[in-house]
Amino acid sequence: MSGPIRARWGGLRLSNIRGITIMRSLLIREFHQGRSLLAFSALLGILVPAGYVALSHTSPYRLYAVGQSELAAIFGKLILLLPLVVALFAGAGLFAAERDRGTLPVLFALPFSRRRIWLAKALAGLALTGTGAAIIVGLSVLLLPQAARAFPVAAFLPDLCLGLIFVFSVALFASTVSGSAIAAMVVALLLGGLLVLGMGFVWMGLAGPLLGYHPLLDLALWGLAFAAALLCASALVVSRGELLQSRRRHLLAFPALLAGLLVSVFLVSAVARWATRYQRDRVEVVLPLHATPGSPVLMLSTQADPVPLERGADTKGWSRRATGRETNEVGNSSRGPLYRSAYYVAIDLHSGRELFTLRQPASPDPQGVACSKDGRFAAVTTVPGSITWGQPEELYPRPSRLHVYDLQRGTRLFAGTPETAGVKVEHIDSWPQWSGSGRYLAFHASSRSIEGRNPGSLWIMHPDGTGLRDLHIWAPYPFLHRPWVWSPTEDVLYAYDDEEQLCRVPIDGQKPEVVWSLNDPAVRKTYVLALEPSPDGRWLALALSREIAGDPEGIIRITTVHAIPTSGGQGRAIATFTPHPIHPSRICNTQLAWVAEGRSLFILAGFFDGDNSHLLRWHPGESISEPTDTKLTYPARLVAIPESAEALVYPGDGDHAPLLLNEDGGLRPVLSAEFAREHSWFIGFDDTGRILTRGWRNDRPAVFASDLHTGRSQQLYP
Amino acid sequence: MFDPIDTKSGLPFYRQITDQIHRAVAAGKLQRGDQLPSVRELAMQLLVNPNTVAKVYRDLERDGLLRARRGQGTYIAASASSLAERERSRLIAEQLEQVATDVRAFGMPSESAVDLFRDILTNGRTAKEGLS
Amino acid sequence: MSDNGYAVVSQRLTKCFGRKVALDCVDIHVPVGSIYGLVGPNGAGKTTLIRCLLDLLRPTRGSLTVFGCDASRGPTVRRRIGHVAALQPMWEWMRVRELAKFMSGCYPRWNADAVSRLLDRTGIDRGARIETLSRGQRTLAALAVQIGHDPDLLILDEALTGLDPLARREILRSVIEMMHGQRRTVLIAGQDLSDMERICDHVGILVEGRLVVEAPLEALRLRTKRLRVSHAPDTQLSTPAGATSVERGLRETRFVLGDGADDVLHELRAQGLQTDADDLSLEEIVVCLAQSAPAGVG
Repeated sequence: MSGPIRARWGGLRLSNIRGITIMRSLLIREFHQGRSLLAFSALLGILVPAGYVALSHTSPYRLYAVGQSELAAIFGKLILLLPLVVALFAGAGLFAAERDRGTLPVLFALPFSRRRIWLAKALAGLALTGTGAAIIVGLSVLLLPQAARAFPVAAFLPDLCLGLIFVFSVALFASTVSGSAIAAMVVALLLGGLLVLGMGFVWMGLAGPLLGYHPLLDLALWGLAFAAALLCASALVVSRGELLQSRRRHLLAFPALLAGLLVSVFLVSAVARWATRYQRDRVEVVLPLHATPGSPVLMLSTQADPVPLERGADTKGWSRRATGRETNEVGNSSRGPLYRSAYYVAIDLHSGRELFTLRQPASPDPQGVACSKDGRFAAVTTVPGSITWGQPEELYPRPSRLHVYDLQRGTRLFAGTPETAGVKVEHIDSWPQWSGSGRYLAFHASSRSIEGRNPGSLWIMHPDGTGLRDLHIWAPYPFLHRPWVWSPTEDVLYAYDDEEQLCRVPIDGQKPEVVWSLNDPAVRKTYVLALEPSPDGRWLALALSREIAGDPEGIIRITTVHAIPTSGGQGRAIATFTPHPIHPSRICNTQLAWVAEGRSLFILAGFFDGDNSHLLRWHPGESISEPTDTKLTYPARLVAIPESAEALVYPGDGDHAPLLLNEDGGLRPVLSAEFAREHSWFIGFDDTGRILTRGWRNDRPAVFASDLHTGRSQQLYP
Repeated sequence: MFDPIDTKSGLPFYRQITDQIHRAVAAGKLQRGDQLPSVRELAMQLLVNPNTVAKVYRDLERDGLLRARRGQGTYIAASASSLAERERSRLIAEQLEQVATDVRAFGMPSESAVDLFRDILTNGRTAKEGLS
Repeated sequence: MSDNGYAVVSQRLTKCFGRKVALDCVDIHVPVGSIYGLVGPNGAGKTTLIRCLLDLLRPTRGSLTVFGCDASRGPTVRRRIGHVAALQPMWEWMRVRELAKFMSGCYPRWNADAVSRLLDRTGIDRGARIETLSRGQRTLAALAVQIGHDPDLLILDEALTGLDPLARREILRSVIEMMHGQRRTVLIAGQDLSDMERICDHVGILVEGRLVVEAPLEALRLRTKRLRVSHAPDTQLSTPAGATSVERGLRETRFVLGDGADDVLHELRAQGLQTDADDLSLEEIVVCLAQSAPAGVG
């Protein structure tokens, strides 16, 4: 049947009513009732350009040196904010004004269900809002085309629509619970503010850990979800609420709204969590983490699902998506694009498949991650509940959670905050380290017991969480450059105590004993650049940079390398590097690498700018190291190839080929400079001696394993 | 043409309308063949329930005072005049009964009442001087 | 959907607002084609009952059917009901013709002629905004648009209260006019009993939420009588059971009987007492019943 059927009979008109015809009558009336709002919008649409013109030309304002771009920003903010006022008025008057006038019973006495009346009012209100907003924006743009050009109005229209829907929903809900239009507006402002601030902080703070990403990135989704909850609650109040008793109406309205908001939060969270699930082929960022040399497993931090860049921005410029902010130039922002989906992934370096994935909390910096050498265990520390608003520090420091996984079986051995006998490990603040066989996991953490808080100490633990023990050694790495390491014999660790002495720390609970200390009153500050035990466990190689007051001004840094026998005895300096000739306060970058099971130690030292690098070789038993013939003029990384007598010198720029360093000090190039250029990030070695790098494939980062001698590369991930 | 209904008198409206029609016929104001207003018109004029008017018309038609022609309205019947006489007596009798009640209530002797009545009939008004 | 000849039927209809009982086991029967007067003092529950009819309130207990349909099926039922309230709240910004146009789109039937007739007769300018109309004109305009959609049941809730006699007259005339045949029913709630007495043929008296009397008006008037008994001075006359509004004078005792007045009259006359019976107006009947209603309802 199409259209109404009309019949004339004795002066009466009979028509077959269809749902749409009835609605039209209501809609027209509602829209007609709101026509003064459109006049108000037109007024605003003229006032904004007038104000803008006044600001631009009136001389007193020149004192504030309001520039053209600022004016454009003010103009933009106004034409985006004023329609929200229209939305507020439109929504607030819908039911509250009728209640005030007493015409609500008249409206409800019409032959329509209350739901239909609500729908007509909501639709008409939205139409009024949209029309009013269009009038304001249209008039402003029409009257001030130059200002409109300076401000990308079109780019912000989706945000404006979202804002209008949200404000309108709040106002409509307020309208259904209030007795007059003014009261409705007050309630709407309070409720809207509460929702934005309270929900924004409370719910996002809770939803962040739930979702694993910063939910405010998807403001549109949340705004619409809240708007939907508000609309449903208001519809419920109108159709079920008793007409006469306001108290019962409120008793129905606010719990309904709360329930609706909760439901929407959980629904959106569930959808968002599903949408940001780990999907290998969508990964866009691959960050290798802490490669354990010779391990068949590699841990990666992956990110996917980027938040769209600001509209109109240069795609190379990485600016955070924020309404009202001006476009950023390239590289202005301190952070790259923000990603919704971030996972830790452990990959098997031969098959390339994932051994396990773990959703990262909503924090841009990776937490501590470590794999055992045989690739059997992985440990991840996370700090849940941290909200970062542009600062790396947490707003709510909460106890770390430690997760230990058995990668081969795919099971989780431990998850939670380690604690034992009334002592709770609160904050794990360094990258944990596995002992050589994976029997123990060591980490630095602060703890709390009934006696109080212990600011920091080394702890060890079995992979399943048992055997948790405090080693009572301060070991304040990384803050003061005091690294700590496992001995390859797995019975001790080497760490600094609170008196700046390097100690040998047994894991069985015996007291630590000092193996080496620097006692020099002239030294003001010492940086430990490297601490490497030899693979046979007999020596400790230590690279130090000491700060000495200089003459006539400033500070001088002298770098030395010491070899300390672990069986006891004097450690001796085996290499000393002079300060930088021009910048004596520069730290000399020093790298140490043991090869051939501890038969030789290689030292690569130089300044970051590549000048004056030294490559030295030392055999245990000799008093001093020998320089090789080679002088590197470019930054490079020195890495020992596991279970071999060679080390690799990997260039830091793309102009040189990697070099293979043998025990005699000879260097020969391997692979190619082009390889180094394509694979700019050197990760480490796997268990078969392949070199692991991160390069690029199809403009996307990828992890490769390459054979040093054949040069053949295999892409492992993604 | 019709007098307004008196709501305070306590007399049923049906009665009042019927009496009005009877009086009108008796006084010759309504004669045979005259058309009465429709039920609805009369109800609107007097502001009474149309059912009441309908009942009046129905009963009077049954009594033979009125005749209703389908689609053409209600008219005074031919036999109205003969009924008029009977009605006149009835109406007068009703009023006299009211007077008699008062006479009894006041304790006035019957003769005095009859004399008073005769006086009024002859002179057309109350002879104040005749009373003591 | 049979209505058994009744426009409105309720069965033990009860409505409570918290502890306050507004309607208490009301069994109302409004016959189709009648003009039913719902009378009672302020706060008796008349407006509550009407709101239940319109599904603006839901009964706490009991049932309420309109034309055989349960009143809770709101929109279906309201299509056949017209409602005019006291000091009818209206959308002040609308013009009379806009209101008519809006209403015409809301209901299945629309009789533009009837609307025009009433507006012309009362001299209401169709282009005038409602806020410029007098109180009487507002009610008449509201009535006009209600009549316009040809309702089977028209409800006037204190619509005549506070209006000038001319407006009242017009309203009554329009109500009578729309009683076409036996199809339409009118329910008038109010306190102005002299007007209601004229045009109502049924009456229901609501006192403190209870429907104490419901009867055709004629029957009620016929059986309710005031008896005046003359007797010797200072004699205490025993009043029969059910007598209300007993007034004792020196030589006369008066009382009102709701039923069986004829029998009592004959009995008293048989005793030799001078007894007369008076008819009562509706107002007097309501007053007597309101005074005699037992206290502590609910």
